[in-house]
Formats: sequence, structure tokens, C-alpha cells
Amino acid sequence: MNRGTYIKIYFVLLAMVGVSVLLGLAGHTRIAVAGIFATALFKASLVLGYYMHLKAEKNWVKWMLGSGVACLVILFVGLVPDIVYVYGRIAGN
Amino acid sequence: MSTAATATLDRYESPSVATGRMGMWWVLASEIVIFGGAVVCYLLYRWHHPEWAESAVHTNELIGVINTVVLLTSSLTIVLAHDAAHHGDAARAKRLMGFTILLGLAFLCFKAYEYSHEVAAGFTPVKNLFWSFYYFLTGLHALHIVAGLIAIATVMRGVGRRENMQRVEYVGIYWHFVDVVWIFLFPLLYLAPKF
Amino acid sequence: MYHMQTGHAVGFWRKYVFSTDHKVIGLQYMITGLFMAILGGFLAYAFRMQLAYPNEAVPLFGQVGPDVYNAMVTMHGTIMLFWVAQPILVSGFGNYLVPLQLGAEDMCFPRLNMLSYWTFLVSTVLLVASFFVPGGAMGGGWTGYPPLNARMDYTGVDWGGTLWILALALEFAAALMSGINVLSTTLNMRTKGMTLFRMPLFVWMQNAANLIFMFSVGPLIAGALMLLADRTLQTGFFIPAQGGDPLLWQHLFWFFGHPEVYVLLLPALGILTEVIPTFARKPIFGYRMIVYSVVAAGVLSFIVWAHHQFVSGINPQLAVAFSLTTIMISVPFAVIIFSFLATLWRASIEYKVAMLFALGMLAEFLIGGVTGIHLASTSTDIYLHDTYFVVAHFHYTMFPVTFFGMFAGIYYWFPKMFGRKMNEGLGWIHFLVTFVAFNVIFIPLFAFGLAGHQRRIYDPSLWENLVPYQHLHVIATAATIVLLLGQIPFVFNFFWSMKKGRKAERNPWKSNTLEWDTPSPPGHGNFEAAPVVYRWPYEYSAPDREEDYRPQWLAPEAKP
Ligand code: HEM
Ligand SMILES: [Cu+2]
Repeated sequence: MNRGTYIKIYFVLLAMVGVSVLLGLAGHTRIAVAGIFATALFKASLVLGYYMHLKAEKNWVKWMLGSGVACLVILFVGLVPDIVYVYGRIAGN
Repeated sequence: MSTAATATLDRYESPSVATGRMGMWWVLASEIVIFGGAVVCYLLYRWHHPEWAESAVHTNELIGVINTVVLLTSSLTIVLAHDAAHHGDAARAKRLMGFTILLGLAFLCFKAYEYSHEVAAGFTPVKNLFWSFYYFLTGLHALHIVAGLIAIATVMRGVGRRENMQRVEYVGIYWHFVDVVWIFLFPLLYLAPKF
Repeated sequence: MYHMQTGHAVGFWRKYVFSTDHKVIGLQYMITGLFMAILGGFLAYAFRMQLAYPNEAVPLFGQVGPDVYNAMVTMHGTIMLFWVAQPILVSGFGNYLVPLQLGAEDMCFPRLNMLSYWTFLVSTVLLVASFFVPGGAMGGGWTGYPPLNARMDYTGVDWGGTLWILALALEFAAALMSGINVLSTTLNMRTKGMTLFRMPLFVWMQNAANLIFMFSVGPLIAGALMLLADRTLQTGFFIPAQGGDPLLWQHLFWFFGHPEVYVLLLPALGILTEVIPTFARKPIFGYRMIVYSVVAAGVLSFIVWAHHQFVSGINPQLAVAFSLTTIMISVPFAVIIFSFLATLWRASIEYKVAMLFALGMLAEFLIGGVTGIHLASTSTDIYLHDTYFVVAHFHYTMFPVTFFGMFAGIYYWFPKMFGRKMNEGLGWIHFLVTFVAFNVIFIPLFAFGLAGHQRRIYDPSLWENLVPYQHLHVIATAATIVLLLGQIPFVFNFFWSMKKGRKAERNPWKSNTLEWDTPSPPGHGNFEAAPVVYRWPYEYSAPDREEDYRPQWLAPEAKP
């Protein structure tokens, strides 16, 4: 990876900021929200892959960071029934 | 004890990843679950409380955008500094790290401006849970910016003396991580909650 | 890369106090932990006296009021888990042994290691200081549940709770730093020939423990900051009236809390994987099976946490799922226990004190594990939750792990650490008293729990249904005193042997792992010459050799 790539990536990132802002203005729809988070994910993957050089990193590092994220997903999914929907608890709590 | 015998290069099985960088990856693994845990809590609550949208419209989207651009730019400068250090250009690496520090400070200034206006408008950390989360998440992030700035400044001093040039990469990785966190905080707190 | 500083003498302070040597740091962790064990044990003595003889002044302590009782129980639990078990088993033994067993000169990041210990020491000071602030120490349970602990005025504990959170946060940070070192050192500083599957199982267990800790503690650190804000800034993260949800804290706490018991268990099992083959003089049975079981248990440990919340009003369907995963996680541990049993099968066992404690831990932990199954099943847990049955259950797991595991490790590695052997006779006394007294304390408590005795109550004589069983409390308290007095031979033995014990050669137990290839005690930099590893670490009773063991560092004999 060389300077040229870094600068190109930078402009893609800026463009993505623009896209997400536009999506925010576009309308209050689920699709827009999904789009906003998709652009965030895309931006993050660019920074991780090219700036942090994760693309060229050993596989176990990717697995290791990925398992951190997996733990968070488990936590989130496990808590949705209790914290978001509060099934089985007194309503309105 | 013979130093010569034990300090030779092939003393160990071949390392899997450069030691310093690996240490940084472990630090980030610990950080991911800390920030991620906070974000998971926010998401769960946010989903449970649709009425937070009314609070969320009051965040300053313009400053949010500016700060996003500032941090992305600082990511570019630090990765270019890494590139310069890699090619042995200490002066250039130092200059680019200086830019990164300036950009980090700019981020903090914008943040401080934003906080002061919000507090003045009555949106304090105890106004309601949305604002508690807003200050908690951005405050934790700002602390990481401060830590990152200190780390970059320390490494920069070494680079001036052409010592430990490989460390530019390690602080860079940390700095990018702080940027990645912001990449998610920005839509979470500024853009998406408005729906 | 780290270079040893030999040749020039290092002053006392750099050598023993502000040291970056992993062995010194390991010992610092252990000794701090042992001191905290005295405190934790003394608290247990004081509140056990209150339980046996309600409202009578306790000798050496004085009157125990309800607030003091709560604070003592809370601090006892906190100290035993995070200031005794964790620093000794994970950071202490891990620091001392992992580089040695890998054949390394030190940890990857010696200065980070020193920072880790000093952060831990600051956390210790904060925690001990919290006894002396206005309002006293934290009294809301070691689990820190809100809303009780989310407002100072709910418990009347002002600074105590806040210091408790800060001390825990620092302790976690210290443990993370030490964990990063263990993980990095294992990956990058294995001596020539030390492939992953030639590593001693102790190293595997240490790494698994540190990984599990790292991935589970993050959300709780975030949660702790939120609780801190609730206490100090009056935010409402966990306060229902402000839109918060106390159940969130419970989830964050146990998402960490359950994996944490494996963080403590695995290093203790790691000690057994070294001690048992050595004194059974047999190769460990099923090396790879144990490694895979540890991995499986590590993964499963992240999906069992809500078994602590069956009566907290969680989603009942979720409760069933957590019940099942919890019962599942006993399988990998059963595999490990059977591996130990198979190792012992038909062995000619040398009953050294280290081995006694190792076998003791296996036996006691089995009782803890089996009673865990009762609690994993929702239907029985609804009855047993928050009773002394639970108290007895987790002491049958955590006490053997912490103390039996630790003593097995200390008696085994003492010769390496201090160059002298501990006295076996005193060790036998220590073991017998500890083993018997421990069971006499906690078996009655199983029965008491079944009879409906709730935990965390200050004066059982207020409950009429409990009064007929009061003698059980007296028995348990008497045994507690015996147990504590039984540690005196150990303390004496420890210090006396350091100076006067029989001199130990390099490899007094005739073991195979690399730490026995160093002088006792090893100098700075550990090895005189870089060791090379030729085989796995469990070649005992090798039939074709005069000596019945074949160490890892021994070059293969030339075939005639
Ligand atoms: C000296 C031996 C020990 C004795 C006599 C003892 C006794 C007790 C008793 C009777 C309780 C329950 C008090 C109540 O609920 O009112 C308790 C609580 C507890 N103990 Fe121990 N214990 C000992 C060692 C340990 C060890 C080694 C550990 C862990 C490594 C430990 C961890 C705990 C915890 C976590 C609690 C719960 C605290 C709470 O309810 O917040 N104890 N102990
Ligand atoms: Cu559990």
C-alpha cells in the first residue's frame, strides 16, 4: 500500500460522510437508517482494512478482533427480549 | 548468564506478528468490548425508548459532520506518517504527526464548544437518559482522543531522535481505532436517532 | 525486543520493588494476594461469629451491626475473588511460570508488566481505604446490583461504594495488562522447538483464562462507569424512574461474572495438569482432548450467564435456553476431570503435599460442580436461589480452586521460587486440617439452604423456622476458626522454609517442563543458555530410559 492508495481511500471516506448525511436528510425511513449504518460499516472497514492494514495482517488477528465483536452480538441478542421488549415483566417498565 | 547466547535473533520460534503491533491488537481487542458494551447498552435502550428521537434532534449535526471530517483527515495524516517512517523519512513523519496532533486538538475544541452550548441550552448529562448516554459515549471517546494525543506526542519525540520508528505504526493503529469508534458514534448520536 | 541487563548490579529497589522481572512481579502479586486473603478470612471469621452467636460481641472485632455485616459480607466476597483468587492464580502464577515454561527470558512487555502490578497495588490501597471512609465500606453485595447501589442514600454507604467501583475498575485494568503480556509472550516468545502443542497445559489454561477475561470484562467496565455516574452525578442508567433498567446491570455483571469463574478455575486446573502427572509419574491422559475441552468451555462460557437471573424476571423462554447451555458446559469439564482420573488410574502416586492439595481440589470441586447442576435447572433454582445452598455451592467451587489450587502450586513450585523445599510434615498437617475443616463448614450450609435459610441475612435468630437449626451455624463457625488456625502451620512453614528449608536442587520433583531447567531460584533472564525443546512435557515412566522421565529440554539420545 502506498501514499496514492491512502489518499484515494481518504476521498472515498469523505464521499461516504456525504452519503450518510444525505441519507439523513432524505427521509425518515427504515431504508435510510439501514443505509446510514451500512455506510458507517463500509467506512470502518476501509479504515480497518487499509489504514490499519488489517487486510495484510495474519488471519488470527482478524479472528481475534472478530470474536470480540461476536461477544457483543451475543450480548445484544441475549438482552433484546429483556431490555427492549421486557416480556414477562410488568408493562410500562 | 551469557547475554550473547540468549539474545541472538533466532532465540525464539518465529514470531507470528511483530511484538509491538500484536500488543496493540490486544489492547484494541479489550477496547472493542468496552466501547462495544457501552454501545450495546445504548442501542437496547434506544430501541426500547422511541421517544428519545425528540431529544436526539437537538444534537448539533453540523459539528458532528465537521468533527467526522477532522478525524478522518487525522487518520490520513497518521497513516502517511507511518508511510514516511517506514521509508526512513523522520522529518516528514514528524511533521505529519504534528498535523495529526493539531487535528486531534481541533476535534477536542469543537467538542468543547458543542458541550458548552448544549449545557447552556439545558441539555445536561442528567436532563434525561438520552443525554446521559450522549455525554457518556462522547466523553469516553474524548478521553481516548486525549490518550491518543499523549501517545502520539511521546512517539513523536522518539522519531525526532530517529528512535523506535516502528512505533509510529502502533500509535497509528490506536488512532485509527479511535476514529473507527467515532465513525459509529456519529450516526448513532447525530444522524440515525432523528428517525 | 527485551535485553537482559546482566553484569551490572541492580539496586535493592529496582530488584525487589520497582522490578520489571516477571518472577518478582509474580511474587509481588502472590504476596499481595496472600495478605488480602488474611483480610478476607478475618472478615469471614467475624461474620460467621455473628451468625453463630447473633448480636454478641465478637472477640478481636467487637459488635457486628447490620450495616457492618452487609459491608463485611460484600467485602469478603469482593476480596476473595478479585484480590485473592485473581491476583494469585492468574496474574501471580501466570507471571511467574508462563515465561519460564516457554523458555523465555521475561515477558514481552516488562514495563507494562510492572505498570500492571502497581495499578493493582493502587486498587488494593483504594479498596482497603474504603473501610475507613464515612459510611463505611460497600455493603450492597459483591454483585453491586442497582437500584440499591445506584444511589448513595439507598444503602447509606457514601464513598465506600464509589471507591469499590474505582478499585474494581483499576483491578480489571491491571488484570488486562498482565493478560496482554501472557498472550503476547505465548505467541512470540516460545523457545526453539516449543510448538503450540508442546506447551505445558498450564500455559494453555493461562491463555484461555486471560482471553476469556478480556472478552467478558469489557461490557462490565462500561457498566461500571455508568453505575459510577448514577452514584455520583445522579444519572439514571439503572434507575427505573428515570427510564433506566436495573436488569441491564445484572446482565452486564453476569456476562462477565460467569466467565470469571472459569478465569479463576482454568489456572487452578492448569496447576493440576503439572502437579498430577509429576506425582503420578504418568503422562497426562488426553492432552489434546483437554485443550479442545478448554476451548469448548471458553466458548460456551459466554452463553450461560443468565442462569444467575432465573428469578429476576427475565424472559422465561430465555431461561430455558440458559438452563440448557449451563448443563452443557459441564460436559467439557467432566472430560477434563476424567482425564485426570485416567492419569491417576493405576499410577504409583507419590503423596507429596502438593499432590494432596491437587487431589483435594479435584474431590471438592466435584461436589461444587454437581450441585451446580441443581442450580442450573430453573425449577430447582427457583427454590434454592439466594439460599445458603448457593453459598455452599459456590464455596465448593471457589474455595478449592482458590486455596487448594494455590497451595498445590505453592508447595510444588516453592523450591523453584526460593531454592528450598517446604517441610512435608507441616504440609500434611496443613492439608488435613484445611480439608476436614472446609467440609465441616460448608456441608451443613447445604442442609441449611435446603431448610430455607436465605443468604445475606444478618441475624438468623429473627426467623423462627431457622431457630431449630442454629447448631449448624455453630458447627460451621467452629470449623471456620479451625480452618483459619490451620493456616498457621502453613505461614510458619512458608517463612521458615525460605530460610531454613532443605536446599532444593534444580529439579527436585523430577519433572519435565522447562522451569526445572533453571537454577533454583532462577536469576534475571532465567536460563543460562537458551533451551531447545524436543518433545511434549509429559513423558513420565518412559520405559526405555533409566530415569523414569524425559524432560523437554533433553536432546534425544543417539540410537545405537
Ligand atoms: C475462609 C473461608 C470462608 C468462609 C468461612 C466463607 C464464608 C462465607 C459465608 C458464610 C458467606 C455468606 C454470608 C451471607 O450470605 O450472609 C460468604 C459469602 C461469600 N463468599 Fe465466602 N467464605 C470463605 C472463603 C471464600 C472464598 C475462598 C471465596 C472466593 C474465592 C469466597 C467468596 C464469597 C462470595 C463471592 C460471597 C458472596 C458475598 C455476597 O453475598 O455479596 N469466600 N462466605
Ligand atoms: Cu454462573
